[in-house]
Amino acid sequence: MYRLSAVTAVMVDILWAQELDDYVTAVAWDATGDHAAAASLSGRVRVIGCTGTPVAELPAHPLGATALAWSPRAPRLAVAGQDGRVRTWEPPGHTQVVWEQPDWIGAVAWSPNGAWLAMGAGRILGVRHGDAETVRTYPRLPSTVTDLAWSFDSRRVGVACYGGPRWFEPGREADAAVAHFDWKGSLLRLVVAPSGKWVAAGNQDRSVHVWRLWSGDDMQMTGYPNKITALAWSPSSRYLAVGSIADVTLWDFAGRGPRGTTPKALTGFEHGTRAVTFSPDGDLLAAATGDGVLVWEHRRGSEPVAVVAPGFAASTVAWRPGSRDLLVGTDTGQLLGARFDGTQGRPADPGTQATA
Amino acid sequence: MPTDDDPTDLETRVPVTVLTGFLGAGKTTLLNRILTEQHGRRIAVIENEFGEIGIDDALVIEADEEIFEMNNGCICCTVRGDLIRILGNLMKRRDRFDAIIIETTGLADPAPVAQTFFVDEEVASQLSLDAIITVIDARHVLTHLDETRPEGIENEALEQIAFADRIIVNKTDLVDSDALDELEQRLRAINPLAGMMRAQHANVDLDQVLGIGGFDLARALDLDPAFLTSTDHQHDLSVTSVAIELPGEVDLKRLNDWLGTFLSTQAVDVFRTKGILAIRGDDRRHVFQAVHMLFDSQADRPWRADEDRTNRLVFIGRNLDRAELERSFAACIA
Repeated sequence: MYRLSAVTAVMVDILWAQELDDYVTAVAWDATGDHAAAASLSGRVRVIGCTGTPVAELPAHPLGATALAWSPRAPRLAVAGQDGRVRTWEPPGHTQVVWEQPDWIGAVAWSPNGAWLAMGAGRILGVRHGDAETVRTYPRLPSTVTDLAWSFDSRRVGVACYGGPRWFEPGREADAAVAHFDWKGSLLRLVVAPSGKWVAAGNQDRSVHVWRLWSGDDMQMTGYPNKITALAWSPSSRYLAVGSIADVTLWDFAGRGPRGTTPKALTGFEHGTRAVTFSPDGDLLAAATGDGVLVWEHRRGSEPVAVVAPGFAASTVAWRPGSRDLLVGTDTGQLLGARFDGTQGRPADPGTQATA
Repeated sequence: MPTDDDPTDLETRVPVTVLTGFLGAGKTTLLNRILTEQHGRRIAVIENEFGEIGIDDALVIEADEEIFEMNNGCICCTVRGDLIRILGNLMKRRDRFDAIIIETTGLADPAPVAQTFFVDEEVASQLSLDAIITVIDARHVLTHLDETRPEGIENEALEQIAFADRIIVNKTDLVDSDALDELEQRLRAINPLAGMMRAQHANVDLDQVLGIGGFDLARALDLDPAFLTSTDHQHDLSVTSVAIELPGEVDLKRLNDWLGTFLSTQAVDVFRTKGILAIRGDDRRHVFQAVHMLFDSQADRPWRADEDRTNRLVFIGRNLDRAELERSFAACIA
């Protein structure tokens, strides 16, 4: 199996396990870590407590639930599916359909201030403000919305589709995009750095494209063997983790940025990266792969320090806020809670100062 | 590049059938027949135009034909983004499908659909393009074929015929038999490799339509290639084919270099390429196919002791230079 480095061999305790039923498309924790939600391709959506206790089963999304997101400011969940519906859920159990479209919903994203909910249905961007009865829709985009990402100040939402990210300001009257980073490629993932300085896109054409958010200056990382399937910034915005079908690489944005550098390649698996995510303290990077969830102390070595659920193809993974607990979803529909009980009390991500 | 992929890979992948043809040619009739007669098999249908599918137990998903270019705008690497998403999600589901059928719009160019199965590795690893089936209306197809188009505008009917692995000449009851013979001759001149079937109300033998794949390609090329030469002097056709047959064993590296260069420089003009190759140092036949410049090959059965190791390549496209093709292919023989 995996070779674990002798000095950093750490324990991962499986805290609990339960069945969802089919390929887990998304898992997410709310801002406080009190609740998590999981969605599957059978259409099932479950809300659980922090120890895995079932809290609610939401109405099913026929043909599959595809995306979910918690508001960063309140215990409010948004879930979407191939049935073209977006639902919100709030404890103790209030559910509401907030948007209904003929096309499937591929992405939902709350603004950082929790005021706006952006949704992509086919080629249509919809934005809902607060508890508004109606959803504002924008003119058809050139291709399906594959991902959505808000600017740090909650003013702009970026839409990933063919032809580079387009930015919309829902606070404005006009429907037109306020900015467009024109680039001929099909975007699959779009993530804004927590610092608000950068936006990165992972693409079908085996590249990553990074823009300075406000100027549009850009750079491109090429040479990936496959399309980009996962993308995440570290909490300090110093590192960008990139998952492709058979690898995970790490770009260092310290100082003058990664231009002219090569990324660090993280090893330990052979099959499919589906998600990458940094721990809340920024010290650990977890990847959901076809060979389980791998955890790296990415600043130290390129070999994983732990593998959660080896032998299970992991479809998605999320860290619980303020902890080193992982929520894992698998290809065959299991949900696992795990605790990374390794080296604790390490200094904070040194990149915090560098990019502040 | 041609590789020695384990032939068993082919069997684990779910076959995908692409149905093309003009509106009214009989695609939906054929689809309904497949779903009725294949009752019990799990079939997923991806449709562009919501037709009158009369079957409840098939999973029907509507697609939004969404074509984009890969590799900085090369037209030969256009793929269907919507299919990548839909097929990706289909293959993740716990219950697997026995077959997937994609019905395209009447005016669709089949190339981006076919190219999706070469370009996206997630799709390619789990699904195999079994065949492109083109349904034509025997009474109307010539009108479409003869339509004059402005320079640079494709004739969709012509493309659908050129790309086909099977052509179903439907509605034969509306045309007399002389006209049918003439029509088939015309179709064969465009695409000599596609199996041709006559039908009324799309009443074809479904074994000849589904699950034909590489087997079909090998059989088509096993036929005496003499019939392929009949199109050589029909200069009035914009799309023709060139068949090359050469004994001997091919040097894999030289072949890769040549095909890579040839297909990428003439990619727009060469619609499909198919072949059976004898590779030096390999006991098995290699079945080769390309859609525009994207190509792959699979190892087939071993050569039999009593057969000659002969390479056969067929090109379907425009502006094909037979002499040049023969010369450059001959240079690949070890």
